Amino acid sequence: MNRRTLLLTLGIGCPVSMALGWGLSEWMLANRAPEAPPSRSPFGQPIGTPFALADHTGLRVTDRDFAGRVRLVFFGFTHCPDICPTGLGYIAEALDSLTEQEAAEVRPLFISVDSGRDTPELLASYVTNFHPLLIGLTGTEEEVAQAAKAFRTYYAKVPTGGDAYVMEHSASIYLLGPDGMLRGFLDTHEPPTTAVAKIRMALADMASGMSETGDRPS
Amino acid sequence: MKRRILLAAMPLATLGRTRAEAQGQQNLKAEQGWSRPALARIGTAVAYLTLRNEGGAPVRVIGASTPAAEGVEIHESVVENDVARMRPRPDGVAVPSGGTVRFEPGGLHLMLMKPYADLKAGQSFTLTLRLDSGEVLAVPVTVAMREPTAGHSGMNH
Repeated sequence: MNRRTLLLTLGIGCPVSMALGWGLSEWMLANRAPEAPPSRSPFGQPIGTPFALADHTGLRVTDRDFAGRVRLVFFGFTHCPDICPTGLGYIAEALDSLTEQEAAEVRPLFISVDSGRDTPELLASYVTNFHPLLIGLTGTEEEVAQAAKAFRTYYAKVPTGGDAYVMEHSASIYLLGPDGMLRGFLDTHEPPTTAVAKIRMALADMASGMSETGDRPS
Repeated sequence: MKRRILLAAMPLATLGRTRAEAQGQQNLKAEQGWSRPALARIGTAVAYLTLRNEGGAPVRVIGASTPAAEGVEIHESVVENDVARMRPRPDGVAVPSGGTVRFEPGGLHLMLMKPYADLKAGQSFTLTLRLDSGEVLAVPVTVAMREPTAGHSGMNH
């Protein structure tokens, strides 16, 4: 094969095979789109639905009550001395750095995984210690289990001798957009300014009209 | 081996205890003791601090007590695969010679069991650390919503 034939073969062969390949993959994608398995990544997927719990004022609430708002969701329990106060203190600091208008569009939820001890009344005195905007949520064992399932989170009761026990639980702080999609997580190891930036990005989606009922560009 | 000698020397050491205590306090420095607001009815509170060992030998903190609570335990929070767990540290924590150990949010902490009263921001209490040498170290702890910034502990110097 001389140089000219080679160039000719490549010059024609490559574009033609690329076009064929592209056409084929488009056709295959179009065909499999209806039954494409959902992405395994939790990001950009709806999360935290459904749940029904009691808030710290004793009101019955569901996930729908927080729809259309940016949500911060943290699982924990009031008897937790370190991780939970650290997470809640971090959330409080971030909330304080938002403008009043911005903070009004955010719903910070602390969901108790300790239904045995955390009554709405106890939660009230606990969460208000951290920030007036914090909302404590609790419920029966089944209700809490359902909420945890909705967020695909883990918790377990660990006896520590006698009647005493602690709960082990996820340390994640979920960030949900106004559309109920998982935007990511806040990390207490990051400076609070990072949390504020993440919250503002989710709030920007809200300003652009993206919500569970609104149109969402695909 | 060293420990055995230390143990053997302990009865003698108690004689010179006042001196040893003074020395211990010179060698092990505790700074930035702080705690978070807590409710007595919930029954748990926390204390954090930074230990610096300026002596030539390691020092182990084996326990603590405070007039603010029934008991104090040394714990460590560990996050594994995103799950937060609490591990007791019954053997305490060693501070190597020349080293620093931080009790801080999300890591080592002193858990106060059954505080006698609510802890409110701005209050303070004393935490007494027990060292393996038999010495004790009193640490002032301030209740605050947030970790005091490093510059703030200047008061102790």
